[in-house]
Amino acid sequence: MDFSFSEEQEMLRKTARDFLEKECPKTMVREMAEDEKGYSAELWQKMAELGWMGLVFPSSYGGGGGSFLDLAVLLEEMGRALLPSPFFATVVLGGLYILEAGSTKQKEELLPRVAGGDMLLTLALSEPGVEYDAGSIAVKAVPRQGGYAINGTKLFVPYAHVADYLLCVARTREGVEPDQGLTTFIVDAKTPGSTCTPLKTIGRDHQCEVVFENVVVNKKDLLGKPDNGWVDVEKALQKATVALCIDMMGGAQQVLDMTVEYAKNRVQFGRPIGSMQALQHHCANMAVSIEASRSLAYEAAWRISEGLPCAAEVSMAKSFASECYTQTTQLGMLIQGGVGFMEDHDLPLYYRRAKATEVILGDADSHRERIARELLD
Amino acid sequence: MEFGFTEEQEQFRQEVIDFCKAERGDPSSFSSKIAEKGWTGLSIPREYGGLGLGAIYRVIFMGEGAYWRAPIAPYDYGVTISLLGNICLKHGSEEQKWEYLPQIARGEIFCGQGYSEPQAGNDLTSIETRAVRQGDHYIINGQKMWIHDARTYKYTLLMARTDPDVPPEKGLSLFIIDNTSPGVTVIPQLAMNGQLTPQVFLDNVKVPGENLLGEENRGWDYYLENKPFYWNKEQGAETGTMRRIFDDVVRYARETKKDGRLLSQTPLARQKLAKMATDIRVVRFLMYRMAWMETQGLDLFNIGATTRVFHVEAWVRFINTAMQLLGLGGQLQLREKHAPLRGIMETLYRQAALQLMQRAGPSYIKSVIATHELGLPEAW
Repeated sequence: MDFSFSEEQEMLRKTARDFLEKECPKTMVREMAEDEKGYSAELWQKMAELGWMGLVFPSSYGGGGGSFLDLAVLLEEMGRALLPSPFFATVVLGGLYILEAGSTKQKEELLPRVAGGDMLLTLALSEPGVEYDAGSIAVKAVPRQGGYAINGTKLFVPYAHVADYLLCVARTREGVEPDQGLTTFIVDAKTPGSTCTPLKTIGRDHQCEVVFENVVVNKKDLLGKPDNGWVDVEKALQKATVALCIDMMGGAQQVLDMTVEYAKNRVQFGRPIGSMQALQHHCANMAVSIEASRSLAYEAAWRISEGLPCAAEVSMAKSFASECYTQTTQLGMLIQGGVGFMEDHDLPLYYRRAKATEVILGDADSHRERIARELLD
Repeated sequence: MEFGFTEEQEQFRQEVIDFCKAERGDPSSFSSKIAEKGWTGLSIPREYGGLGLGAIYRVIFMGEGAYWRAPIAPYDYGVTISLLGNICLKHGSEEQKWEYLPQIARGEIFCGQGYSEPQAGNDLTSIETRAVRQGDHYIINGQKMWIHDARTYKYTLLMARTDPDVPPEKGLSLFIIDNTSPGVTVIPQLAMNGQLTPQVFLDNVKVPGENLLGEENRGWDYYLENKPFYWNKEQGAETGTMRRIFDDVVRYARETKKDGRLLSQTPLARQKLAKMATDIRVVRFLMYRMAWMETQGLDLFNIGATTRVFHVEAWVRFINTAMQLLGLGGQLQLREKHAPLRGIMETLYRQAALQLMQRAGPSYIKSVIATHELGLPEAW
């Protein structure tokens, strides 16, 4: 057993923290929340130069050959800084999925461009009334002109408005088991027939509605096996869920740090409010909960890194993180009072983000149901 | 990072499981058999009669022992190794190490904790029991509460005041007291969990000078340093106990219908079971992380506090949830005819309350986390 980060990982963490402190101040986070594109192309370029987009991909695809745990370290810092960028959509949802399920040709064609920061990807999965359940997916792809035509509406697709390619999960066969008959397509965002509309969300994090109207894709743009795509989607979702948990813990830790700092300095009734036991215990509860949540997240990340089965562990991490991050921001509000409620304070940014990530990739209840499935059925 | 066991650790774990399954039926010979294997001295250095394998092996052993409900007395063993074992190894004289550590390693002695007094609970600086040096020995007078089984344990690690003229925490010392010494009177009190918790009265008890552990007036420092162990005494048995009860409850949920529907297929029960499983995972992780940090010689104060708070709260939540899942049947006591899980939950539920106050309750440790780990000002 070894519960420590490697020297390289510690170095990566430090580089990332220093870089993001300088390049991603909260003024920028706020600006990007309102920005049409939602990220800074200049910052994206600098991140690419640091090798971040390629970190987790093998060197044969122009990547840095890092592990999923290395990526986790980086994501924790991004979550801490609330970095507004299509990184998660491109590298985690898109890139890792292609790395897992793509053909050699697809990987050779797409991954080096992702690694170089020259291509943006995203995953189009959820739909109106469909969250992460295979059986309910209604967007259809039917054979046409030697390829397929896609019709239907996808929702909550992160950074779809700037993505070059969308990985779209669609139904290609009816009347089979719920998790059968699904196929994922690599859809060029410029293909005629697709319309992208940004959604106004609590996290102001640039999720979109994407409507497909007879969007024609080539047969070669199938990702993974036709009619049996859900197995790979599940794997991609497992990685993405753990990655999100780690991101969330970075944010939760930052909220705790800010809150403790405030409690040390804010004087009321002639003493720092941090000397009041009621508030001390809130802080201690936040610290214990974050430690527990982070433990679950890193254990799941490690299992993914090692290629071990991890369905239950992933859901444990997400069910815990979903509740931990939201509660942490609520307690942060409680302790920091009115000043923390002001939009020019950093806390509202985390408060919004926590509530968004609580439900993105599944809320606590749905993940507990997944755990139960693993344990009981 | 590497959260898995090494091949040797996994082999050891399997050996412990096989042994517990084969031998647990005979409690009378169990202790001597594990002592023979050296498993009572897993983390005690080789030069003092242990196996010197370190804390991770100890947690594996305690965890699996508890899971298989082997008669390893995790509490007795845990309290002995985490108090006398640890402090003796760090601060004892060479003679004391030779005297006590091999006996602990062989599983021959248990040593309880004699810290609390009627007026000194979490606030141990208020200890009034006095130890006065007279030539080559000390004379001790006072009263102690909540002593671990002083009727059957051979020793008590006693904290007493050796210097009343300095600030309260500067005048305390630790003594190894033989519980059969003249002047020691034990009066048991019956606790809600059915255990007898003795009060101990010390009336001019003569203790040889060599039974002072470490230096005179350094008792408080040793106590502080040892807190992570003091808080987490069962040494990993906690994870095994939780896993075992969880598996029992899962079996029950799969076999039992409530109002016509299998409990395991009831959405609310499934949510509760999933939460229990998640809590177990966290406790296990924290216990092994703390053990790993011990093997690395790292400071255990913060991880010890976090582990304890999470474990206590998770444990109480866990037992409460398990009771809820058993429904009406949960009320039934051990070996009652209709009792689910042979009535064990009723006992465990009563025992669980102990965790909320024993060896500093979670409220106290949260204050410690707030001030020590987070750096908030002391409360007044």
